[in-house]
Amino acid sequence: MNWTDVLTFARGPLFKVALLFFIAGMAYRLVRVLFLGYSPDKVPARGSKLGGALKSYLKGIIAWPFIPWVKNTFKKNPLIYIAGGLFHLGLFVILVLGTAHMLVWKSLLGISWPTLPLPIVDWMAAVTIIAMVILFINRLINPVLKLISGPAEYLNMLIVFLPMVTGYIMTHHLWFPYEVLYSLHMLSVDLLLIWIPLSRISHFMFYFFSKAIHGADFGKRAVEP
Amino acid sequence: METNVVINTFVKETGGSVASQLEACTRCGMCAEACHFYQATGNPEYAPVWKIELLKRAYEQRFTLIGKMKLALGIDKRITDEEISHFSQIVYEACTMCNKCSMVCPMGIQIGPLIHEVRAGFSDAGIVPADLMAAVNKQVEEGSPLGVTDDVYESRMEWVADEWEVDLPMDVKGADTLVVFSSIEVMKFPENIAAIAKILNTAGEKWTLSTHAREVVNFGFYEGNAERTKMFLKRVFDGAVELGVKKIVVTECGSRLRCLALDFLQSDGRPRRDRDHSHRWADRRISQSRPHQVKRRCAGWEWNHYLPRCLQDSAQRRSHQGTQNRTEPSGPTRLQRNVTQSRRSNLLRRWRRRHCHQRS
Repeated sequence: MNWTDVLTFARGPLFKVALLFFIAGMAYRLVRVLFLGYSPDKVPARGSKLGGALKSYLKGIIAWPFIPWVKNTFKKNPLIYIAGGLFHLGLFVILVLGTAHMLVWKSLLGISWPTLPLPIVDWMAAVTIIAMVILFINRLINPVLKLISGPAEYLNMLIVFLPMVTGYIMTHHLWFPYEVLYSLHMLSVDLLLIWIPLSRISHFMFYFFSKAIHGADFGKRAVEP
Repeated sequence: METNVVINTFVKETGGSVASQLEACTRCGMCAEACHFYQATGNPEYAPVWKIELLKRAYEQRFTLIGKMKLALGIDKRITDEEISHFSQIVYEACTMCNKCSMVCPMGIQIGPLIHEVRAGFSDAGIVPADLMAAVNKQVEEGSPLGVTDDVYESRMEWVADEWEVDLPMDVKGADTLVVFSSIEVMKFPENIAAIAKILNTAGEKWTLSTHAREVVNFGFYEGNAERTKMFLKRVFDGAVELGVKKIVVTECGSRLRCLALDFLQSDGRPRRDRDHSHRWADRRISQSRPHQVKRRCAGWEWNHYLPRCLQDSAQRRSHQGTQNRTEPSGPTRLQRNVTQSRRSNLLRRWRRRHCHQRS
C-alpha cells in the first residue's frame, strides 16, 4: 500500500464517512438542545426582543471584531484579542475564499464563487498559524486558562492545527512529497470533521443561540446589548 | 445527600436556554478580565467561567452522551460534597451578579443568570453562608434584614419628616405612585429619603409610602431561592394593591428593580402594577420638561463612542469648525476660544435656531 492508495481512501470513502458523521452529530446536538424546550416569557417587554437579538448579532459579527478598542478588556491584552480575531478571519478567508477549498465546496454543493488570489490567502494562512501558536502559549501561561483547560481543550488546538500546518507545507512544497502531505492533510481533515461534534469546536452553531438569548434579554429591558 | 439535591435542582432548571448557553462556551477565559473579584485578587478560581463549572459538569453528566461516556471511562468524576461546599464559597462570596462578564463574552453567554441558577441549587440544599442565611431569616420574620419593624419604620419616617421639614404622605389611598425605600436608606441614609421626597413633592407627583410595602431589598433573590423571592415581592405587591396605586417606584440598586420587574411577574403570569426606578422616573420628568436638550445620536447609537480617540477629536474639531465658519464669520478666531465657551455658544446657537427663527 503506497501513499496514493492512502490519499484515495482519505479523500474518498473516509471523507464521506467523516462528513456524514459531522452532519449527523451536529444535527443530533442541535435537536437535543432544542428538545429541552424554551420556557415562555410572560414578562411584558419594555423594548423589542427581536431588535435586541439582531443588534447583538450585528455587534458580535460586524462591530466588535473590527473595532475591538471599544472594549475595556482589549486594553489589557490586545495581542490575545487580535490573535483570536485574526484566527477566525483567517479560517474564513482560507475555507471560503481560497480557490482550492472553493473547488471542494463546488464539488459538494454545485455552486462556485470568485476567490482571492493565492498570495493573499497564503499570507492569511501564515497569520492564522502564528495566531494559533500565540493562543496556545496563552493557554499555557494564563492562570485562568490553565485552570479551565482539560485534555479536550489541548486536543481541540492540536486537531485544528494539523490540517492548517499540513496544508501550508503542501502549498509551499517545503519538505515531503506532495502525495504524503496531501494524504496527511486529508486524514487530519477527516479527524477534524469527526472531532467537531464531540467537542467545543461546535461553538459556531451555538453562538447564534447564546447571542440571541443575550440580545433578547437586553432588548427586553430596552438596553443596548 | 446535599449533592443530590443540588444536582436535582440543576436538572430541573436546565431547559434549552441554559443548555444552549453551556454548549456555546469555548473556554476562552475572556470573562475573567471583566470580573473585579479576579482582577483584585488574581485567584483563577474567581473567574466567572469557573463559577458555573458545577452546572456545566452536572449538565454534561446528566444530559450529553459524551459526558456519560466520560463518566463511565473515569475521565470525569461524580460531583462530591466537598466540591459543593467549596463552590458554595466561591459562588456566594465572590460574585455580585453584576453580569459584566456577559458583556465581554465573545459568545454573549449570560453568565450572571447562570450563576443565579447555581445559587438556586445551593439554596435548595441549604448550603448558604451563615451570615446571608441570618439576613434572609430576619427578613422572613421581621420584614427587613436590618431589623426595621413596623414601629421602627414609623418612628424613623416621623423623624425624617421632622428633621428635614418635608411631607411624607403615608398610606394615602388613591395615590398614583407607591415609593418603596430600602431598609438601608431608612436606617443609614435618611437624607436620601428626604431628598427624594422633596423632588417628588416639587414635581407635583401624587405619591405615598406604605406601612406594609416598606421593604424592597430581596435577600431571597440574593440567596437564589425562588420561594422566598416570591414571598418578599408579594409583600410589596400586596401593599400596592391595598392602596390602589398605578405604579411602584423603587430607589437605588439595580438588582431589586430586576427582580421586581422580571422574576415575580414571570412566576405569577400577569403584570399587576407598573414598576419604575427613581432614576428613570427623574430622567423622564427632566426630558419632558426640557425637550430641546436631546443627545446627539444617530439611529439609536452614539457613533462617536465607537471611534478611536484620535478620530473622535478630529471629528469634533471638524464639525466645530464647520459650524463656526457658517454662522459667525466675523466672530473671534477659533484659537482664542476655549472649549467651554465654544460649547456654550453652540448650545445657544442651537437654541436660537430652534426658538427664535422668526427674528433672523
